[in-house]
Amino acid sequence: MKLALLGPEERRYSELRLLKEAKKVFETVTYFPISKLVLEFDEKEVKILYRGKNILEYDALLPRIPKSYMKFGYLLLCFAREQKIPIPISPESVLYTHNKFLTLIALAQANVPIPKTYLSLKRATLEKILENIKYPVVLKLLYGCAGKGVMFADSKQSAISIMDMLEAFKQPVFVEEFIKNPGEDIRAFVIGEELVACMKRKAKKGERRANIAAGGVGEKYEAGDEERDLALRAAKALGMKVAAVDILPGKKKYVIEVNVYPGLKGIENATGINVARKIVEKVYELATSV
Amino acid sequence: MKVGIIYFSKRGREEAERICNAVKEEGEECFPIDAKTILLYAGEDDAAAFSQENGLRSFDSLVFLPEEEYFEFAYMIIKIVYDYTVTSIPCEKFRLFFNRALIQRFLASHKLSVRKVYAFSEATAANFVLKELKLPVILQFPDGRRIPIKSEDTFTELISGIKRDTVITAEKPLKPEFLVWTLVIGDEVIACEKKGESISPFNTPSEIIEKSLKVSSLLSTFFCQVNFIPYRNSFLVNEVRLFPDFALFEKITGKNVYKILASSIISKAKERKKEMIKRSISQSINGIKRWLLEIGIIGPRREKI
Ligand SMILES: Nc1ncnc2c1ncn2[C@@H]1O[C@H](COP(=O)(O)OP(=O)(O)O)[C@@H](O)[C@H]1O
Ligand SMILES: [Mg+2]
Repeated sequence: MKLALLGPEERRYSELRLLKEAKKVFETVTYFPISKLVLEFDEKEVKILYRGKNILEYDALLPRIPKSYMKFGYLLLCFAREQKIPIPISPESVLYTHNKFLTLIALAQANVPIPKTYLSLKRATLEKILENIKYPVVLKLLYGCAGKGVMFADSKQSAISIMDMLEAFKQPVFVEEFIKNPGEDIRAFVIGEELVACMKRKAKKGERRANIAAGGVGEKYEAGDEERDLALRAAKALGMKVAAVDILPGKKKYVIEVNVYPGLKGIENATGINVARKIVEKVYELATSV
Repeated sequence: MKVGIIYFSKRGREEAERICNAVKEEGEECFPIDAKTILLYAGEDDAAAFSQENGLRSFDSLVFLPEEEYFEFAYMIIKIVYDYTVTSIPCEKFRLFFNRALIQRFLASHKLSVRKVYAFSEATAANFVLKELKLPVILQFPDGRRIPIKSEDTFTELISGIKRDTVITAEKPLKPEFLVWTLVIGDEVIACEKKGESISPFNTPSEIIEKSLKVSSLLSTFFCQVNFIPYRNSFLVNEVRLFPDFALFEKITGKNVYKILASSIISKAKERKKEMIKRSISQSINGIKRWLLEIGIIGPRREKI
């Protein structure tokens, strides 16, 4: 069995971990930097080439597609799917999860609880919402990640000034209901039909974002039935057999985000679980069951 | 019947207004909708889209005049409304547009021939393509720009300046003596021929009519523009546009394009609405919930937007 691992040119912790574990499970594992890949096709055949080597001859594909390769990554996965190569995520999930609002639409349509969220191209369209919404509100960049691009406004005035900035940078205006929480979120790692690892991230003092990249600290967390159910349904709604689902805790629980390119360091360190191994085993299972 | 025409630019507004006037002349209600007035909502009780307090799902039909810059936003609108309102293009087909590699492959898989296409997104990969294809090549960008490349220097310069994650396709250029553009509206195919800078009406051979109709039906779209290129005694589909240059076709051929468009929109909307009612009855609980959301009993309009 041959595995093609697709990812950014610079391999970091997560890519290295996956490579290491994959080598224990697959006979051959090759890492392909997305940026160097070329798609070639005509009526008869389709190839994804790396220095003349065709990736579509591999038995399975494990993609790690960051936002910066979203469109090209999506295209590659569409072609791989057409050739029936096993992949643990749907090509569409790459587009859906990097776009925070598209994620929420998919979740809402699958009846997964999410915070009330609004999006428009212009601030003026959202003005009436600002009058009736409870503060603080959360404003987000449609394509932000790692806590970057998540902002909080405690009043209408500060919301407006953030929106003006978004509009000036030609960004759509994204406003979300603030879900009261003790500065924590839950990162639930789903593989197949299972919640394999779960951590609680605590924001650092004076910070509302719980992201580890924003100074948050992760610790092992025993997910309850409700959280498990939400995480599994969210992953399924997006067509993902590998997904990291962010949930805001509280009396009522909300899914705020699903990640297609999650880091493994935080979750492996916090839980001591070999998540990389479980991902690779899932891909192996998909490859051998066709 | 209530029809909405959603536009994203100045040209879009002009065309939307012309289409609206034609639809009104057929005796139906029609409104141009500026995408900038559209508010999208997602919440526990489903997603919804509004323009100036009107739920977009309350329209019987929504026609999109999309542009590359606002592709994602248009996609989100369609995703929200398309199970409940007849849209001029279905969600999964819309995804193929502004993506030359995807659409060309889609056509090829339905036996519409294509030539060899390469797609890449970074300079390092571009050099490989150049070695395979050899100069000259023609590059195409997602916004439809097409740039012929004759020297390695211009190639390198162009490629090094591209924005990240721009998918570029490369092909061998053809030097056709003329091009054929068709406007497909329902079963009607209106054709122009472009020779050098001059554009004239074209006496359409049956091959072009058949291929135009096939493209439009494969993509399940109300209308589209198909650009053909003559190649080896036949015509290749070189491009499909969701927002055709209606005004140009009308000017060149003298046909009443907007009238044809209006009656086609109305009949397509009626036909698809029937299929949809069948579907929504089978999903009735969600259907009722969505209706409550549209009229503001639950969801964001309860909060008086
Ligand atoms: N609606 C919300 N209410 C309260 N806190 C939020 C909300 N949305 C996000 N946060 C906080 O901000 C963090 C980052 O938000 P998220 O949407 O996951 O973006 P990112 O992709 O940058 O991680 C979350 O982990 C959470 O701590
Ligand atoms: Mg997050």
